[in-house]
Amino acid sequence: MNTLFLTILLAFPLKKVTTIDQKRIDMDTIYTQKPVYISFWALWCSQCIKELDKINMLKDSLDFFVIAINEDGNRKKARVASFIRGKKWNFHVMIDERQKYMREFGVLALPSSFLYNREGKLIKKFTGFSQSAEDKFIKILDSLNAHVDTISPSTN
Amino acid sequence: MWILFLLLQINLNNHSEYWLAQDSLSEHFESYGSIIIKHGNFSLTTDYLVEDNLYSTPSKYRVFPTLVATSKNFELHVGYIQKTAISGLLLNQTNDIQFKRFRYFKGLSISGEIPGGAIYLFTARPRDFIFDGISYTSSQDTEDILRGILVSGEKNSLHAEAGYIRLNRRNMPASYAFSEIMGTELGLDRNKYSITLDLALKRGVNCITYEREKGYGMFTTLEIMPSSWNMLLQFAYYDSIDFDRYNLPPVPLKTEILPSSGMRDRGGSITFYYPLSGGNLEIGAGELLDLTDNNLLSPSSGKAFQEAYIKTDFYTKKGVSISLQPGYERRLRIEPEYTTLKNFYLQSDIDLSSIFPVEMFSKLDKFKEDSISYNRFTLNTTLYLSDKINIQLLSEYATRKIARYDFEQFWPSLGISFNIEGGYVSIFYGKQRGGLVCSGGMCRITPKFNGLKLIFEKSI
Repeated sequence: MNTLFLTILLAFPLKKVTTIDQKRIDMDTIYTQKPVYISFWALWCSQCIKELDKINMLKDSLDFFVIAINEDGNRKKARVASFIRGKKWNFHVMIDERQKYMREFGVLALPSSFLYNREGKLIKKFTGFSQSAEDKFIKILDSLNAHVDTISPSTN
Repeated sequence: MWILFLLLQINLNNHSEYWLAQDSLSEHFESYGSIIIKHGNFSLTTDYLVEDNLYSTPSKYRVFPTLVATSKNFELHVGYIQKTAISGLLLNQTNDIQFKRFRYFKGLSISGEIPGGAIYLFTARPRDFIFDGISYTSSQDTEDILRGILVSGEKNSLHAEAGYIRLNRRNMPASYAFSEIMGTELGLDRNKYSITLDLALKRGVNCITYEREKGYGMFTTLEIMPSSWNMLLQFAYYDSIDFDRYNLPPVPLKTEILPSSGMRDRGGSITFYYPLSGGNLEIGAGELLDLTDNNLLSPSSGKAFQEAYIKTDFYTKKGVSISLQPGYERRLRIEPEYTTLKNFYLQSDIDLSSIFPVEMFSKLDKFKEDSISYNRFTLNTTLYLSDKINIQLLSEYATRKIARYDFEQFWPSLGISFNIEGGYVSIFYGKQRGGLVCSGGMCRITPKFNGLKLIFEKSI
């Protein structure tokens, strides 16, 4: 009973997502393999863009999966697509057309980001990405990956 | 019963603000957020808005519940629903948190998969609550009914969307007062380019004069993307395509100003993105002008807006992030106080936090309002004391006293933010200039503020 309760309560909020370039991702297969970082952003939010620039750089050296959820809506889909191509971001971006995910994640202001472990459990919410937050992020991610390395060295 | 409660997934999100004006001691309190309860294929989402201030007597309490039932191929929404169609040209009822614009339909919608695509049907009454800078106003609390059908599909690199929406006016004296809007979106995505064309037609009867009304709108996008750089071209032509504010035509400019709100706008933009080593370059230019104007150099009587900018973002070897943007804007009759406003600006955003926990934003604006010239300097400094606490020093200084800013010249303020588990608490004290704020094609004048603001946000 307790296991069932925890499974439901801590259910990972993203299931099947369609990215801006029409790729369909089954998140149930992703979060069990790597820690997942979900970041909410918009073109008008300069702090969000700065954070995603940093995440893009960290992604080269750290093992985690990133989904950036855009809140500009379908009206700016073309501008968002062009912007991310210009940025050469090396992660998936999706449009939250009806702010469905914003509600489900409890986001009321940008930037807001969430780090989940391999059990789909929320480890930390970030509201901004200062250097100290970035240091904390790297530390948490290292511990999440180290924990998996310890219990299952062949996971990588 | 207890077991059922344990099986429910409950999320609560809240954003609250308390303002206290220093001069008048007037107060403003607002709180909005949502409560989501999920169980299996059902969810009950209740957005809420609470407001209590001098200008909203009695206090406003609004709830927007929605029951969602999901099956493998269909989704049913009953209650308050939101939707955008054909890039907003046909329909745009969604929230804009930057602008504090809460736009809903009260009714029901059914969406589902059909062979080769998807279908969306709805019947609903509009319910909008928009913050005007002082209080929330209900701008669409009518008995009008909107009904519509939207279909979409895709095959290989082609995608298409089409829709029809009819608005029946129940409050109008004549039962035949109605409007209808129909449109389509066609898109082609290839490796090196992508093209999208949005078209819409509006027909109806004017609810006041009972004359026939018609409108036309077109928005087109072409993106060219060779291997290293990409370029976006956008063009809009809007002739009376405003659908009683239930739609919001897309804006081809980076600055989100749609001068005539879809009544008489035409123009376009070009944006060029080029990657640099350790950063990237963005160059953009565009204009929107009245259909009756030949060009911005010989304006007649309409509103118009023109922009051009170069933005570069890069990182130094020590991880310092630098963003520089020189630019130019020209506004014609956007605000009532001037005919022409020219603005040359240079803004920079420097994040030193990799070597020292400070981030600085500065902007120098050089304005020419008809025959009046003045400069404005903005400097915002954020000091990160830890990953939980930061201090912000904000200041703006204008070299001339302008009537619409109440002849004030200096607007300093101080803020402290504390990150808490699942949210944050912020305290601001000082002056805010106010002025024109634009988002998603709509603009509003925000009033000045001098006093204390407390902001609390928390998710459970």
